[in-house]
Amino acid sequence: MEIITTTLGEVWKVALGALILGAGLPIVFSLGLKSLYGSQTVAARADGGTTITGGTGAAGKVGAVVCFGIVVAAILFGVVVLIWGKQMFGK
Amino acid sequence: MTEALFILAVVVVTALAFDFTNGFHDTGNAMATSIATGALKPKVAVGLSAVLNLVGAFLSVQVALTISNKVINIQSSNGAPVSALMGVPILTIVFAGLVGGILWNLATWLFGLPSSSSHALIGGLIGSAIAAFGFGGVKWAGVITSVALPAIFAPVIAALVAAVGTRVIYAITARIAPANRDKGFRWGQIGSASLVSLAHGTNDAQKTMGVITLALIGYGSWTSTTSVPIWVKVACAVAIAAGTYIGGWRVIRTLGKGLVEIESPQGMAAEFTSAAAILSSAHLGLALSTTHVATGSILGTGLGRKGASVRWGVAGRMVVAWVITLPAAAIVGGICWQLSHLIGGAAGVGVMFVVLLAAAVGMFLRSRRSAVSAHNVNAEWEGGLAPAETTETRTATPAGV
Repeated sequence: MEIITTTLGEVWKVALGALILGAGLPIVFSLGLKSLYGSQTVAARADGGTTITGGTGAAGKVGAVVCFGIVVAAILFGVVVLIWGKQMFGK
Repeated sequence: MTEALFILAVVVVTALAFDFTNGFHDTGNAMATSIATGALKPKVAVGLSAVLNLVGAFLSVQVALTISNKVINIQSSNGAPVSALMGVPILTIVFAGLVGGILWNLATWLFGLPSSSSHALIGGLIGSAIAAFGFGGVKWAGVITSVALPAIFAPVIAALVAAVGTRVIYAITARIAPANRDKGFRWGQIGSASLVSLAHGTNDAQKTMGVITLALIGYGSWTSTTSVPIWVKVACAVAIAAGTYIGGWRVIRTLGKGLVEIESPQGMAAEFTSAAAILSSAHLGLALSTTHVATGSILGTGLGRKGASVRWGVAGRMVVAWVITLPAAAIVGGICWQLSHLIGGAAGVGVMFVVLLAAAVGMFLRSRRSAVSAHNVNAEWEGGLAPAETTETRTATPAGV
């Protein structure tokens, strides 16, 4: 029984890590997209296509850069963990 | 050439063949979603994944002599083979285990089912250990903690996380023009899928390196249990990358088109979930199967997007394949050990190697009857793996791509 409860203890940590990074990073990424494109409006044209109007302000661009920067940094951190993780976390 | 040297050579070749099947069986885990949404062209996707697997294999700084040591009793606590088994006995056990893993990988590939390559290898080794020593040859506690429990939880966790991520990102980006949204998410997909490929190269190539190193120690030509000969590292890296580049199109098609219809936001949510789950599990000492995680993530994105539907029939077949992976590979591994043992020594291993080759060629020829390749991998899913040869799919991508 003990081995099962120990494993379940690990499962919770993995679930938490997966939730924070696995769901969190796509959310940050999509906030970046919203910041970049959110001020644009989309209008349907008669021919079935769409017309996009409006630009992105400076604040929007900064927001996008920050969000995408976080995601890129997280991916690079993932690479670092992949290579040196055992030394970093002592397992 | 002595008997043991001949068997060692066969084991090395067989291990590299397993590594190769490991590569093409798992290409879809990282790249199926990017191929399905058009973020990457099929050939570009497998090329990128192959390069990252190659790089990933070289990044691994530790030795995984543990894959066999966790589940069967042929090594002492430091990873070196038990002295009574040195030479032909341990080489034969490892060989039979590899045969079980390869044949199960090929069979599931033929049916387009993503199943865990690690489970196939572990299953093969368990079978050959049972054949050699009886049920006492298996560390059942290890089987429960490193195989059974992770297999139950990996897909469930991944599916839940991916579903949550998908739901939220669709809500956030609901008012962005679809063209802009998809362009953005495709970049996110490529980044996250690349990380999954890299992690795959690091984790999976290492397993084969461990098996070959174990064989070398068993033969007596290598003594360190903490390092791998450089030629083993190079050979394993090249084998897994070549396998990845060949592309397991049948599995890619099932994951990218069969399970759920994927849009680029879903693809990104799925790959980030996979990367996060694989990386966090590896460092908590709980080895989750890349395949189980990736499949769960893709299924979860189908649950998370409103209006998307999951093909539960396809999902059901995958689950059946997962459940029988270990026992099926074990039966093949067990039979292979029995036959090698009956014929005896180098002749036995040689004969079983020829049988393995014949079975592999047979399954390859069978796959040609309903070939899936880069040009039709994205064809509409019409109830089965075999794509209909419509004019639409022919014109969509030029022949020879």
